[in-house]
Amino acid sequence: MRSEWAPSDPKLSSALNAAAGASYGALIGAGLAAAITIALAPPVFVPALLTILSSGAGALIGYTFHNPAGHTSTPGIRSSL
Amino acid sequence: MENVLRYFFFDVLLSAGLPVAAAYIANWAVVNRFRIHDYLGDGQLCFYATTLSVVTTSGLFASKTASVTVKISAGGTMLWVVILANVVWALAITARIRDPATSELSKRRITRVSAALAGAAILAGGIFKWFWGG
Repeated sequence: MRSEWAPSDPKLSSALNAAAGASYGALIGAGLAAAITIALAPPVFVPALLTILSSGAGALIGYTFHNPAGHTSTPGIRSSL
Repeated sequence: MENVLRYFFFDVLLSAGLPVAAAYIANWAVVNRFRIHDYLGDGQLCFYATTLSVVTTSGLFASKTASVTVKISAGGTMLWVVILANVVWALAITARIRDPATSELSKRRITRVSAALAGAAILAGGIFKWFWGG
């Protein structure tokens, strides 16, 4: 955990955290999908689903864990992954 | 395999790697201080991810050899990356305009998130080029 920039507006901050989580999730999912594709040569929908589902999970994690209920912090800096 | 290597050379190394290398060389020659977010902090990689995804999808849909399953799977994934890249860029720039005092910190975060998106676009594009073979 380290301090990281976040917008001072709570709604904007939540949306950005979810989008950032989705982006990291997409990267992890695409990495896993690439590894699975090279190793197992699965049907094409497997890497597609893996990437999209990882991204969705990342968005959920980003939204949930970056914005605990009742959490307040100094505008501009927020605890983040 | 050849098409994947061609993809990584032209669409990744030359399109994304060359501008960063040029910026690094210019910095080394002039100010001797290279901070990647000075160059990518405005979400340039979001545009790169969008362009790469759209170009890959466009080529795929123009292909006569790619199956419908490949087209739907690749199109859906790349469209998701395009939507994400646009949402991230729009939100981040809006947030920065709202809090101009934190612009330096916002650039660092935008660089990290957009790099993740660009990485996802590169990997997903490579995977579908592999399946597509075109």
